[in-house]
Amino acid sequence: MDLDSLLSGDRVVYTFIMAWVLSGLVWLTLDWLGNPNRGSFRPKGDQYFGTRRERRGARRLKRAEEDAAVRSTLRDAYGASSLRVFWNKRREADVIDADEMLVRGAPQPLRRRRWRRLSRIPELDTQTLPLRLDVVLPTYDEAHPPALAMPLARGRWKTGGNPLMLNAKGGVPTAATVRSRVWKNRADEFVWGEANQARMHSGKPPRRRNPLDGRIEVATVDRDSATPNWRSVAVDPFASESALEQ
Amino acid sequence: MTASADRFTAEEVDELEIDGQLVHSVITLDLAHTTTVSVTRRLTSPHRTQGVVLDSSDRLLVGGVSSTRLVLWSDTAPEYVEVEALPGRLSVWNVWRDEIDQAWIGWSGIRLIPVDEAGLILRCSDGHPPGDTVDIELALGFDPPLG
Repeated sequence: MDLDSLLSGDRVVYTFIMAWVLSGLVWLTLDWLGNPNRGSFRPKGDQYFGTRRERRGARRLKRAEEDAAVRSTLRDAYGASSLRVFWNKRREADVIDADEMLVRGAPQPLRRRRWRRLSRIPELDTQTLPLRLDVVLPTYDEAHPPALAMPLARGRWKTGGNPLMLNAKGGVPTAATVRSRVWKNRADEFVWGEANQARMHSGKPPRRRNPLDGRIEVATVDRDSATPNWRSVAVDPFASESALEQ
Repeated sequence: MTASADRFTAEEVDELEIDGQLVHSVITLDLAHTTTVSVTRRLTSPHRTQGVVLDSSDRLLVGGVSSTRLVLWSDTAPEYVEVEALPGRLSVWNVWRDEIDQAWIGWSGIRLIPVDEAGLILRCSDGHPPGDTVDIELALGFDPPLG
């Protein structure tokens, strides 16, 4: 069948109609395939998401609420429900459930605050205490008054000041800063030698040559007491026992 | 005048000639046998506490104390001390106490005066200038005598 035979005589009419019918069918097929919502139309407010059972339950609850609202309105208006004809036990149960959800319970009365009665604590018996008070809480001794820790000065450190001095904001100096301050404070002591004094003026630690192994040793500073020292392990056999333990 | 310890460090030596005298940073002896080393403190500076360190490659014994490194301070040790040293190297140098224990810095040095094989005299200067002063003088005796 060629194009000339289709467009000749009466056939052109049937061809025209068939073309429109086929186009319509194609359009409907594509529209059906492309539209995922094949259910009945529901306004957005009535759309529920969830399983089929949940959607059905939500719709049932909404109908019950509407029934209850209408019923109460009509009852207020006419003194009796006009829905009595369609009323059944199932609907009545639904309405009761909906009412229970809608009606708020009566407010609870405020609790009055109870005041507890004060009770007297029994006298402290030092004999029955598990700890000795004179050990835990020492009494003041005039001969040995407690040493009060003086607060460290704050501000801009200058040579000769306490190496542990805090900065203007009260910050604790770092270990490197304390070391540098210690050496600067002692840089004028001739005992260190000229070479070491030059180093110490710039905050560097003094050095010495250990003749036993030929190595250069560097002095250290104790971080807490800001006192310098050399690493040495010599034992004093005549030191007191307490000194030996230290 | 450059401090002796600065020269010891710069020249990496243990002895120097200063004003015609040989100055040591440490005295090292080789003990062939177990030796009783007597340390006699003959002179001590009143300015600060002086001391002497004995360092051995083996153990040193004084009374009930045993260590490889002992220090005898002028304020705690008696003037005469006997130390039993096991065979090996024995090194001796002076120390002093400012606020901390010091050695090998400043004008410190040891002038050695050999008496005989059984004894030495160490004239030690601490690090405080001048360096030609004697801050502690020690007499070391050896039994048996050094070979």
